[in-house]
Amino acid sequence: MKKYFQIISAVFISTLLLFSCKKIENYLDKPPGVDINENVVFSAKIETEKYVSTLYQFGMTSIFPLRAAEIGFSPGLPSTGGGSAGTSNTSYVGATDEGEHSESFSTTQNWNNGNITPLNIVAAEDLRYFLRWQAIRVANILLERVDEVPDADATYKEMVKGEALFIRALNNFETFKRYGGFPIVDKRLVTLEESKLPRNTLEECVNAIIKDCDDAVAKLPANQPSNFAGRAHKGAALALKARTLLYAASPLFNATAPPVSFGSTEDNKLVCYGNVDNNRWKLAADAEKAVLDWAQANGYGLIDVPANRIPVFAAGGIVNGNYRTAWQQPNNAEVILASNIWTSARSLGQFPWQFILPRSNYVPNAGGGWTPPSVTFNFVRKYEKRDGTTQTWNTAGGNDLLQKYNELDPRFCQTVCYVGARLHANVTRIQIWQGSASDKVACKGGSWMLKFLPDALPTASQFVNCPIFRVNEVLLSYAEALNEFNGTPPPEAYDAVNKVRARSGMPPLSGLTKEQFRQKVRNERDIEMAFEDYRLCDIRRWLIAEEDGVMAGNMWGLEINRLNTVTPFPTAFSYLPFVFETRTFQKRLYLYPFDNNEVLKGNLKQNPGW
Amino acid sequence: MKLTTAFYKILPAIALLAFANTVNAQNGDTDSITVIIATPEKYIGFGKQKESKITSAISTIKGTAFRNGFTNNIGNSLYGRLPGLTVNQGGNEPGANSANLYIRGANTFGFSAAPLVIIDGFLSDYSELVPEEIEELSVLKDAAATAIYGMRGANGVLLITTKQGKVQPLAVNFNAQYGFQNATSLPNFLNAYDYARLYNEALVNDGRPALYTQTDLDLYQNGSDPTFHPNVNWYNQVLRNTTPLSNYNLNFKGGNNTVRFFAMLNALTSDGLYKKFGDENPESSNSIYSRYNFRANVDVSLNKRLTAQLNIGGSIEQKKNPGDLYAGSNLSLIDRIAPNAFPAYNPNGSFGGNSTYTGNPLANLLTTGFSTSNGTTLQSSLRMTQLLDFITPGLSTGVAVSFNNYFLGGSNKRRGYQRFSVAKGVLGDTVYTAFGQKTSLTPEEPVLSQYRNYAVQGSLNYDKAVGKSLFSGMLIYNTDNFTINRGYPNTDVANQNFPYKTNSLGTRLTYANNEKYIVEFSASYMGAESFPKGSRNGFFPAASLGWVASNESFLNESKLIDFLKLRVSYGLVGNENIGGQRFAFAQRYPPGASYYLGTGNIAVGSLGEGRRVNSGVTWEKEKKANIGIELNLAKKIAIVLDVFKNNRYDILASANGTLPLFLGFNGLPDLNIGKASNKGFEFSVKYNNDTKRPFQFFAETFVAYATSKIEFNGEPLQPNTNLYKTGFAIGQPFGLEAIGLFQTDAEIAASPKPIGITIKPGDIKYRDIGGPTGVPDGIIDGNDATAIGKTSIPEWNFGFNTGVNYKGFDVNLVFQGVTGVTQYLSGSRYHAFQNNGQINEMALNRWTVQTAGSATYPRLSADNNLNNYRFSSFWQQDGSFVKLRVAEIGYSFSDKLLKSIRLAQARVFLNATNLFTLDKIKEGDAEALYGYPQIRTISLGIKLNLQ
Repeated sequence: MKKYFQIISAVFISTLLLFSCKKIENYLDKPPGVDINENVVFSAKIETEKYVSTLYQFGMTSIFPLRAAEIGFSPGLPSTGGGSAGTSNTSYVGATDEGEHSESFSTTQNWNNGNITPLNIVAAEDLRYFLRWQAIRVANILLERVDEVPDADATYKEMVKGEALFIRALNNFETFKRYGGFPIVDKRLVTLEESKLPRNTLEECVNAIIKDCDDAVAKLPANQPSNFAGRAHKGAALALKARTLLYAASPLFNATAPPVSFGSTEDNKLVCYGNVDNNRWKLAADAEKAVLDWAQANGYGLIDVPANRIPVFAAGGIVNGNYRTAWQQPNNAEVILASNIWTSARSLGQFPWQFILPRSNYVPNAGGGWTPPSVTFNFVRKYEKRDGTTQTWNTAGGNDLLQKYNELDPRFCQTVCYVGARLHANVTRIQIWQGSASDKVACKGGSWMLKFLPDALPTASQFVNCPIFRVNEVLLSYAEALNEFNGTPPPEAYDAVNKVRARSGMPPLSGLTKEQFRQKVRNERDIEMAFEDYRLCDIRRWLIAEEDGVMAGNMWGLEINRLNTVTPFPTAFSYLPFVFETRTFQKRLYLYPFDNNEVLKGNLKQNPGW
Repeated sequence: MKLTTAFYKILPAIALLAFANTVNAQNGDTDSITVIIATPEKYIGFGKQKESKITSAISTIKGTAFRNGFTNNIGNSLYGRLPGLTVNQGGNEPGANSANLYIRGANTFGFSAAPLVIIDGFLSDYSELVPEEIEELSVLKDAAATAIYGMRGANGVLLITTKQGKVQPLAVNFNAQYGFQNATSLPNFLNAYDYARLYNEALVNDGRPALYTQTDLDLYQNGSDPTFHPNVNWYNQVLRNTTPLSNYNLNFKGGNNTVRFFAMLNALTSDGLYKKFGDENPESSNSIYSRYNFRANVDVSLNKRLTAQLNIGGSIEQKKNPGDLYAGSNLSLIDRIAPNAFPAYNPNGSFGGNSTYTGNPLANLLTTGFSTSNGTTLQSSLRMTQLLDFITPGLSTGVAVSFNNYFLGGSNKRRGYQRFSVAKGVLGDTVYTAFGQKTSLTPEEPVLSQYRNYAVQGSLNYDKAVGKSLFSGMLIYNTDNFTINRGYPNTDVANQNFPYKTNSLGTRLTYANNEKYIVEFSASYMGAESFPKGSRNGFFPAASLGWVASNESFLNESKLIDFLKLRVSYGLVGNENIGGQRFAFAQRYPPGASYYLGTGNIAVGSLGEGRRVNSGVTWEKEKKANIGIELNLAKKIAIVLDVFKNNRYDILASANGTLPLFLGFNGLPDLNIGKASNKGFEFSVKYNNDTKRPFQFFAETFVAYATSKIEFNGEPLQPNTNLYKTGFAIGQPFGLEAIGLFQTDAEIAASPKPIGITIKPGDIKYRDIGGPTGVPDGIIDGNDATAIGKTSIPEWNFGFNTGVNYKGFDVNLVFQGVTGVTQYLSGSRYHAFQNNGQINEMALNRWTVQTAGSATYPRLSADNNLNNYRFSSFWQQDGSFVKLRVAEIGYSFSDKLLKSIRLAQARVFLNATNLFTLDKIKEGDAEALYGYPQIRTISLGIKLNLQ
């Protein structure tokens, strides 16, 4: 009996004692799992490299719209009032004077009819809004912890920090160019208090971006080896700095008050400098010059094979000039940094081609799943003739469409797929006329996009060339900044823009006033970087959206008719310009509205007018 | 004790008795054991308490009381029995029918509102038990009753105690029941003639030409062409009208001062509603569910102070079905197949079929093989109790271990088959077109479900009376470890199968003064591994007070008031079953897609922060307040009233509406920010006439009300206030508000409509409530959804249980009712012609130009109508009902007669379960509007007690 008692009480008392001691508490510890946590990421260089891969996955912007499928992670993008972010595929060319979507449900139509709201802004254009913050968080975590990686050397750690700073700056820049000032997140946010960050002033934001760029330049290698192409180097950081300063110097931000005022000088500083300082153009020009110097030192430069300046081609044949090589060939010498989100080679039916090709009931055998914007007549009119003079188009129409087309800047036939031109190997003579599948209802502008589409696409998967920084853009930005800073365009400005013109066989500019040079260089920028997602922002930073035919007023298309039925292809076409749409632009749209859900959370001050 | 040899012949199993008898003979010592309770005691958390001293809200039912509902799942026997317990169950498919239980309704919109189930002191599952092995079943409702379960008690506790032996002569009970079951209702689909006639009408409504000619219609009507104009009622093809079920139970109970035991065997067999397909085709199977339960609970007094209690119970079950393991998919196929689509059999004996429908329901059962599941349950515990009265009187201690296990494995043999559509050839011949592929039988053995539970307890009890003061104290330590698939998202393979563990230390201190004033404090300090280190332990205290007013001098002379107790309780309880990721505090970095580097486009795999976790994740907490009155009048009437208010907080809710996304998370975490409240009452009255009279009568009724409210759920801000769920009940449906049917084109033109859909007269008209800016925009869409109807968990529950006993005859009726509940009619069963589906009888009352004024169903359309079948109040139905859950009439034979054959008791009875229903839904049973029907059972039984 006593023995039983001793056993029982011993067991009981010991369990009670155990409860308070470590062993029992450890009983509730999480068992070791096979899951990876943050410590694993920084436990070895090989794991850290995967996290750096995520930095680029999330952080690299793109000239093509975001698609969640290309990010790989489910990015967890919240759906917004205008539809689910991450599902839109279309190019934003249709939001500007470059193009027009025939489908009424395209998100770009919201830009044309004044239906951009805080409810749909993310779905309507800024699909990366949420992803950018994720990229910044990845960058901040890398900056915080990369020093802990035991098997990485100091050079590697410095490079990763430089990359993280570059990506943070790039994503902040993308927010800045759309919204103005934003909350600067320069470390991993942990507490709920930190989630109540207010917006910083525009000046603080620009300075933060510039500082990150400067720091990145100091840490990054001058260039990356060819097997690291796609990762940031000094040139990328310099180019980002230059672009930031150029945009900051532009009239939208370099201003005493925004287009629509907050009503208070203090608040206005959230979206503009609050003063005009012409010296900002000087800073921009110097920064652009630094990029060009770097490019020269590291083997980057315009693709300019003299024989290929003006492409020679037979009807139905491929048009292969310097300009086309520059946009078609991945990792060419002109590309300072490109986004490599896409799997190595993409076939006809895959993103991004699928959304640049006209769909098959508009252009048989084109292979597109959706439809790109048609190219507007407003845009075609911007092409000069090959002698540098302005093309004259008869507003009452004419019977000489092909002659008009043939007289244009050689970049035209390397950018636009017009009637009779070759789309790719499967569509060598495209049909665009009344009575064909691409009539003026299907193809309102009168021509389709050619740019971005490799010719061999139907026969083999192709690498995607998605440049974020290119030498031609740097040259044009340099020219723009120099002209704006000086009373008359200096020789360096002419030199820069003429280099770009010359490689495509266009005669040099000379003897222009500041204003004339401004108009020419803006036009040059639109032609040279057509469809590359620069235009929407350029229009806003130059404050020209309300000018007729830019983002407001009449948008023109061409009604095209065959003048004969010669086989294999008609030889003459008539054209008749017509207004397919009258667009509206609200002044408040110079600055994007923040997503409504985000504003309702209380810390973001909504932009004026929204 | 002797038994007639006759019974040995009838029941060979009683051979066990011989053993029991021997034990009895050997242990004839008369060592005094302190047993016997003067006043009734109830089981409470980790113990027992005198009823008069209980200061918490507990409803209790004895196992004997709910034995007469004949169901094959114990959950179905609990309808209308316990105030505050809601049983929610649709169909009654044997082997598939585990009811959803709620105690005082749903208290949380979090992962689980299911109560904790405790069997004999340990976490377990009740659904495999049979009523005969249950001594007592209690529902613990308030904080005073549940705080001792710490972070598991907030949803209430279902406390089940199995039977133990007593010091008594051996009693042998044998119970046999055999009966038949049928469906309480089946959908009323229209026949082929009506189908074709109305399909034509639908086509014409859609502006399309009619499909069936008058000749077709005539052939459908007269049935003379079953091949090309079939008229198939698939229910008749696959279901039987009635199917048998039976249950046999044999149990022994007895014991002496050394050993006391309860042993039981139970065999249940229930055929499903399917026809006997195994008899027609050896590759098929009949639909059968069988379960064998056993239990052996033994107490051994090792000496005067040390007792060992060994409980072992378990079951072995098997379910067999032709085709799929569960009947649901085949029954929903029947919901879709038009009666004229194809004949069951073609003239050449092959199965009918076509390309529109995925199969032939009859062939699915006859030729696709069969599925079986085999389940085993083992619930075992060993408990040692040591009196420590040599230290101080009233002190005792105990240790207990428990191992519970459940495994359900499948064994299927499946194959494909061919079916043929028939058409007339140009020469008048019959052309057959094959669909599907005939394959050979393929076996598979999936694991369907399992859990394991291992627990250890240690306890210390102390009872002391000093003068008029009574003090009792209890300290309990519990640690457990259970492995269970709680149905969490299957994305977390790395952590899925880690066991759930808890440690807890609980106490209950009760002080009673002079049988009048009772003060009780109970608490649990409990930790679970699901929460982050440093904050994984919680303290859950509760206090309660009782005042037995009837023991006060001003009442104790009262003839009317026998007993009056007022009690009040308040405390904090938790719920750790919060769902979400396993170890939700641990941030994970899952792999992602590659980034491509270099001119050669080399893929570099990526690795990134997964959805942001809630690093401080914690359990749900609930503050429960309860006030109760217990009143016994004139020795005949017992009244109990409980009023409660619960406030739940720290419910996991999405941070979407509160956290800004510039935090940069890859998906916002769920935070412990949700709040909900729940309030209501339970009122029960019991009447018993004088038990000394030959005519005995009792009646017991209760009404229970519970209504919940979402106080805060972190939902995103949005312009349409009609869409906010805050302020509404948990589970409140949101949909469009139907305001009748459109009558004219002019009315349509002037009314808000959905965009992209052509609206015609006879279509449902919806109220325009919201729009993108929060004001009506003339467009019917998701912005116009608003709270419609009630939840599917009833607000009101009623129970009425009555019986008479006269000269050996007894009658017992149990009614159950609910109201404040909404059901919804949707899918092919109710929405005519959707996805080429059937048409229900209810569609006869459709809108046509002629019946415009009286129509109760929208115009017919052969298109998949996007307007009329949107989730709206039009298809909501009042789900209130009253059911006669149990009706039993029995006769017990007289003692004289029994003595001559040495029986202590013999009773024959006729029993009916779910005999009739009163409800407001014409189209079906309010509880089983989809899937497997609810079952009505009528059985005959006999109960023998040998002593």
